[in-house]
Amino acid sequence: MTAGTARDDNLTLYRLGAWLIAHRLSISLVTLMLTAYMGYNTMQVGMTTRFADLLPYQHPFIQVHTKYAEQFGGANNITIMIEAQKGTVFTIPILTKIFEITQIVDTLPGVNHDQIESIGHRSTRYLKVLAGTVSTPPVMRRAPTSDADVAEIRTIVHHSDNLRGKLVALDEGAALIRANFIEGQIDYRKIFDETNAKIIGPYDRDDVHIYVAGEPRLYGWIYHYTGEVVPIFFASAAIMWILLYLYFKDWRGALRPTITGAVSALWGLGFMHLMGYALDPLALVIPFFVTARAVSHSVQMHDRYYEEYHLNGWNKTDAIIASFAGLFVPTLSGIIADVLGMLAIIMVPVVILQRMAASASVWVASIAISELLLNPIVYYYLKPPDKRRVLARESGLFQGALGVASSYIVGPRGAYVTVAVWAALVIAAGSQLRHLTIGDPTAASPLLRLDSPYNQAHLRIQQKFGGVEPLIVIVEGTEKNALKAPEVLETMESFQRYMEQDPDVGYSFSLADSVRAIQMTFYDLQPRWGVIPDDTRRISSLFFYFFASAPPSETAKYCDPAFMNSHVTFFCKNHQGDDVKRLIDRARTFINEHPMAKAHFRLAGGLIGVTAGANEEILRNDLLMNIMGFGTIFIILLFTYRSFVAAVLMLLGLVMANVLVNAYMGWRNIGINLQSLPIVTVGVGFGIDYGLYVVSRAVELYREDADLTRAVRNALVSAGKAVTFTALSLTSSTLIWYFSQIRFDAEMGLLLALWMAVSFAASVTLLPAIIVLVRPRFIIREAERTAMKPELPELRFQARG
Amino acid sequence: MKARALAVGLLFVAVVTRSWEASAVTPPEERPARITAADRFFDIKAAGERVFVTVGYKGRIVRTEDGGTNWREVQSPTTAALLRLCFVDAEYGWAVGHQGVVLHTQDGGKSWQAQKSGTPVALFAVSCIDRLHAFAVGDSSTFLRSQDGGRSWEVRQVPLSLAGIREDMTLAISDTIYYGMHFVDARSGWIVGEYGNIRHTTDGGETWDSEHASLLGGAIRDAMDLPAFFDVRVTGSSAVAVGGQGKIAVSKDGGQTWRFVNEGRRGSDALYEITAIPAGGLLLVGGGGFIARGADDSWQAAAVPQGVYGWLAGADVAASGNGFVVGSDGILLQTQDFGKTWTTATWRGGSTP
Repeated sequence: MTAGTARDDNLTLYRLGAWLIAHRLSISLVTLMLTAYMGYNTMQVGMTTRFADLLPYQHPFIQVHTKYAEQFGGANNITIMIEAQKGTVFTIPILTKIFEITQIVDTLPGVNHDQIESIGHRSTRYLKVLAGTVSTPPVMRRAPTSDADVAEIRTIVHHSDNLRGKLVALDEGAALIRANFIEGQIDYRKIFDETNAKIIGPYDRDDVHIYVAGEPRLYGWIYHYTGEVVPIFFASAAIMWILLYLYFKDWRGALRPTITGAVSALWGLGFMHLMGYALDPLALVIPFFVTARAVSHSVQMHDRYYEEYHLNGWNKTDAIIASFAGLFVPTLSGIIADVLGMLAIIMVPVVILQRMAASASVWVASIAISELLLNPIVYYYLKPPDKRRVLARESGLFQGALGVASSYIVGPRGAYVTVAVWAALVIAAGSQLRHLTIGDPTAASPLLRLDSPYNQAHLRIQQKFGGVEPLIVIVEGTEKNALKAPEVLETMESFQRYMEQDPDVGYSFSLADSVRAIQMTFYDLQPRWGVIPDDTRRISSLFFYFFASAPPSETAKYCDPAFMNSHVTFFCKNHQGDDVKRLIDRARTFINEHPMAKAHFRLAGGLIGVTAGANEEILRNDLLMNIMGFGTIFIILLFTYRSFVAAVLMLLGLVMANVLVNAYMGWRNIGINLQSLPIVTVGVGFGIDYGLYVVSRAVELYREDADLTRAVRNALVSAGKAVTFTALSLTSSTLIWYFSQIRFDAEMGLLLALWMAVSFAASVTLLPAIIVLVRPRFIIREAERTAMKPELPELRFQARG
Repeated sequence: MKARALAVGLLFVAVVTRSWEASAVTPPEERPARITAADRFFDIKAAGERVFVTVGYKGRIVRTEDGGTNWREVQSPTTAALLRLCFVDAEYGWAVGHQGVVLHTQDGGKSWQAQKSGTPVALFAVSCIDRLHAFAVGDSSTFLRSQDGGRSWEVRQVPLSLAGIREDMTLAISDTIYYGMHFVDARSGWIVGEYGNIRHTTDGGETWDSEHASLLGGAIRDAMDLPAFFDVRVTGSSAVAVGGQGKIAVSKDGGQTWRFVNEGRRGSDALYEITAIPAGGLLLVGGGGFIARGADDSWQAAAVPQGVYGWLAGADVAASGNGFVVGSDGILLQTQDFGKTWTTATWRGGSTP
């Protein structure tokens, strides 16, 4: 590239700034109208979350899950435990409560009426052989009225392997009601409210405690907590305003970033509604950070404007155009980096992430509207700042401290010390990396805090029943009546016993258990008959007795009417990443070693199955996200500075941030899950800005004074000042999210704050130190391209008129 | 140049470490076999003083040599469920189970060899007199006897008892299932089963009496209304049979006449096994975690740990008073006082429930 075109580049920017001011009225009118339209759409954005949207739809596990979820139960299970305060549940009042609650569960919105399991539900039947006749009445037809009724129910439970330990705890101190909800008809908020109003409210007292767990309940709690987002949002906005006022010492400084933040938010949210998307309460923290980006960019601009106002002899228009031209490249690069980082997330085949990526990238892109289009116009309409305030900001404690620190960092000893300190940090962080896990590292839900009522209920049920999180393995027959073959049932049962050797499996259930229980009941409740018959005819007749007197809709949860497809369900103690991986590996080993002639196993549904699918997808996409995140930034840097060295040097800070944040995740036991996957690409986009502003300023300063060390030092004092302020204010206002009841938002807030803090620290210490030590040629080359401001007096004149 | 290499290296390390760390998966560990709540044991018997052997589902055999401190898995020649055990002394014993399986040991249960039973039906009970004479009984009225230590088994059919059977029902119940047996010597023994059958032989199984006829009359006229009996035990002239719905029938005249006793226990869980206590008296185990001690018509519920409600199928007490009960859910209960009080024991060594 010749020097001539380089000059033209910058000249163009000055002209653009002047042009914008000249056409300020029409531009602002058009933008205002468009923004008003987007604002109208913003008002209509709803808030929903769908479990299915969280799943990587291309993964084979998820496809199996989707295919069979309605028949054999999916991940949308609610588990209600009714625990007796003392003694057992076999009393008239407690059995009555179990019966009544079961009927209420059957009326919850979206419930799958054939997928309710409870000793109080009509579909929970047992085989009754009386004087030669066989029938399958429900365990409880009505609430018990006498001790004899209670004794009868208790005896049935004692002799039913499919009830004892499964719907009634082995110590008989608690009973479970498990209900499946139909995907697509499920309304988490309604289920939550109705469960509270109709079940917990009236029944959780005196003799029983009621605990509710399961994904629909979890999401209900999340909606319940979303109300807190409003105070958090206003608290962080208030902190931001106060800090901005303290920093700029006038109201314009607080107003300008607010305009940018508001305009981009309207565009982002408006776009979301136009695309038919809705806000997900789990991803609320992401829009907040996009707004934070907007504010960060405008603080840079505002700071530069004040500086230029003084440099340009208190001429407002000159100052506006000079700051516009000076920051155009770093601002645009920063925005493009953010947008590409967000867009990269689209490659993860998970609906919620793809939608978030699409809307967040538009949102970020719209920062350009207020920063690069409206910016000069807004300043033009605003009164110029008070000269004394501008001068006062150029000295003072903050400025002084920054000067001393900057001199040390670029000093002969300081540079080496800085690099050494960072190297030590990375080594320390490296030791924590091995603790990093895929998936949830805790047994409870990572979305909520450990001591939340939900997680407490979850743990209590876990203690009492050994496992509540299903792993559903489908058994697909190759012909009709395949399930009547002893070989198939025996293999299903061996599979259960094999998997139960894993400490994470609490218990399991399959058609094989039913066959055993039916045969035992058929022969005088003699447990020695509780085996799978060794010939197909006997199995057929057992099925006939059991299934013939129950409606097909109720038996569908065991197998299909053609006896081809069924399932083995393992109830697991937790869904920690490592455990899920081990369970799936174990299942695969068994399946490979036990091929069946008439059927085959297919992985995997239920919460554990879809978590396994998601984790495998995360593993694949985590690397992809890292490559995409760092790769796009690398290319942007390459184009911005036309230098390989520049790109590598500036990525250093981001790499540091990535290593330290990962180390923090390992240390604090935060797993990489679908929700935390975007952090790296979002963080890379955020982190690069600081480096862009500092290096761009160093290049400008080097042009005026060809001493690299001094140029870097002064860049740190000037651009570094705004960078320091932005980082401090953003970090402190994002830390407010730490108080969120939604652990996911709280932890993401913390992680992104950490990302920003580390990449900021690296940009103002490590980056300048290395530049001073390495003395890269690109700064000198770039400085030659940008030296032209004094050659444009006539332009300033034009613009003013 | 150094810095450049450092920078590229760091970037590479950071990107790769995260993915590499994540993919470094711990291999699926093979843990020692555990006994879980899904395991079921159907019988336990002492072979001598310190050795106990328990058998169960899928041919499982677990054994202790130190009175229950450590339990070890024993190699089993079958995957068919093993239902009952007997030992004639500390070395010789038999186990029977589904699919006509008969296993024999000559070393106190350390190793087992399958014997040819000559029948494919489920065998629910076994009784052994000495190292040569053993009997078994099971599905389809099948009766087995051996007089040569099990080298050969003779399969016989127990003829249908017509006591209390209506003419039109004889076809439907042609093959009574026999669940329990007790031979007191090589010739005299009792077997019990479906429809209240209590059969007695005094000629080693050639001919059979129908002693349950004495239970009919009064409220129960039809044998179909009698419970299934699951076990029988005869001591001198006093005999006890237990079965479905928690019924206990006793005889005080060596089996001539039987009557039901009011057992006075809650609910109606079935009783599955009768075991002789060395100090005297009998032990009954059954559904719902029930254990009782007593004799004839006086029975007391034993102290069972709280929260044990699974079915109990097998029990035995050694001469020292140390004994065990097994059943569903991997339950293992231990007594040190001839069965008065029971505590939950752990399957240490082989296992933890």
